[in-house]
Amino acid sequence: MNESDFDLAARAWLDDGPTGMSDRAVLSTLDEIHTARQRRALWPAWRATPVSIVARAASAVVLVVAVGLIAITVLPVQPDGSSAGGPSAAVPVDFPDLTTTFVSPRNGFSVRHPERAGLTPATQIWGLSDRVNDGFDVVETGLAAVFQGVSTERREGASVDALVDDAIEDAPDGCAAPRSEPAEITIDGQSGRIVECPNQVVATVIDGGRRYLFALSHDRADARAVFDTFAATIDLTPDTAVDFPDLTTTFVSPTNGFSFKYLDRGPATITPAKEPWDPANQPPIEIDFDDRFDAVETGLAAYLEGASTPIPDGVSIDDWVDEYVTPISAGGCGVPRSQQALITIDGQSGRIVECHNGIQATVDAGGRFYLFILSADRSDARAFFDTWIATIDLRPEDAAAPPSTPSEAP
Amino acid sequence: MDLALVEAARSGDEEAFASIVRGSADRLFVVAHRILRDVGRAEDAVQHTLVIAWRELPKLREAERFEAWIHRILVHACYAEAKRASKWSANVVALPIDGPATPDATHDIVTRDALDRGFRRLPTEQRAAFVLHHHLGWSVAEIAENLGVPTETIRSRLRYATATLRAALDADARTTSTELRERMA
Repeated sequence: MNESDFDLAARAWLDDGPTGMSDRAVLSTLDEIHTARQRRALWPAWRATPVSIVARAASAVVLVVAVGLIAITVLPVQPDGSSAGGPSAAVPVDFPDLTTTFVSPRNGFSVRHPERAGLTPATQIWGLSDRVNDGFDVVETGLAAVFQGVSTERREGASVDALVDDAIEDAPDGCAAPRSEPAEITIDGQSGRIVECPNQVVATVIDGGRRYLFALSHDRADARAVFDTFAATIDLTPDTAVDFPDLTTTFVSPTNGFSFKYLDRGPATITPAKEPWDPANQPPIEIDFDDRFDAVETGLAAYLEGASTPIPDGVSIDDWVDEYVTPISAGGCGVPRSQQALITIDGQSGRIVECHNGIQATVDAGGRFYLFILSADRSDARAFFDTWIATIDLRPEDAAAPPSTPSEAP
Repeated sequence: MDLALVEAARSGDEEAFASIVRGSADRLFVVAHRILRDVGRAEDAVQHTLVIAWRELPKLREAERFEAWIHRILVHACYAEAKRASKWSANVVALPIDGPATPDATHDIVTRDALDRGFRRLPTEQRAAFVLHHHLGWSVAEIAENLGVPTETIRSRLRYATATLRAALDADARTTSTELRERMA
């Protein structure tokens, strides 16, 4: 049989056989897909149906209102306490000058305050922490007035009116007016809404795709005037807002020889690697690919992964990465490692490349090669990645041993 | 493949991906079956492939590379399926009875029998290369690129696979015609 005959026979043989999958198998596949989470399925779903974030934010506001009401000794409601709008222009303001500027580290605004005020900057994304006030910048004046500010990216479909209505519907009398009805207020040139409740003034405004909420918890008759005084000094800077979380929990990889910090949002947040990563000898993509990576599902349109492997002796690290590591990212960055930008990870010089929907950084330390990946659908992906990378502690000596090979007889 | 469907599915549109599943499951199954030579395992491989594809689709940067990408996943799913099977049952699959009409049907069946037995002795990686080359018509370079494997590796796999199958055919050619007819009777 010559080569041509062999090819023909082989093709005929391969053409023969079942030509379709059973309906049962197709239906089973569709069922499984229906229950499988797309790698970033959480994110578009989260963006398209903002109920959870709105609910979280609303809950935060409700709690803030409640905390404010509890924390402050209740005085008789001002004569026009039932008013849901207009400024209390008739009430004289007895309040120190706002001489010092506070710049929010997370929420994208600044505000001036009395010199001797106590400041508690926000430490977390609004609504992510169990401690709801972690998302708020708090200015404690010591004058029966606590000014608070917070902001969040306004997700598609999220109604500010609904958010505020949810927040105030459980508040005491005087806050029942829907946000669409109460008075307008202008903050830094942006038109917003304001409601006055007993011991609470709440204003909301949108700027640059962010929604801001400012509140004054008070025990003062001139609260609205005090609030207006604060509001007049607010500078909205949505471009400076930070929408990635503060990383508070340390994860030590059981396999890959590093640790990093992340925000623990429940049992599904982190998935440790289950086996060593060996890109030179393992298929680039296979079913259990993720088992070799420690992974963090942030729930914030960002998926973090990290893995490491021993560096073979005598190889050029750049060539080795180009041959064995680059292919792991389907449709990957395609930039030769030697041409990638420099980055420092835990004091070691590495390389970083930003792709269409992710970032990859590589570094070697103590004879191991490390790969860190961020798959993200965020405009601030690089800042997010840098924040994560800054927490990494490379511990090559703690990495799991490579798969055992037959030992030689003694 | 409809790129709009791929784009939609990549954005999380499950119904779009369901359309992709319905349109591609049979094609993928045929490839998986030719590699694994087992209907159940091939269906499992395709199912795994499609679930992985759904899960990982947002990572696919270029929608036009979907076909190559999903075949790459399929091949690795076949590797995994083959690994799960501790051993192959050499005589499980019945020989085809009604193959294409040829002047010598017996000779055709014998050839297929030899190919089938020879193929079952191949490592899965060689099977995959052989199927992608001879069934899908991919060139060595295309297989190498789509699987992310060096060209020389694919060339080597094809060479070994072809040699093994030819050896199986040669062995059968040494069998007497009478013996063959008795076996087929």
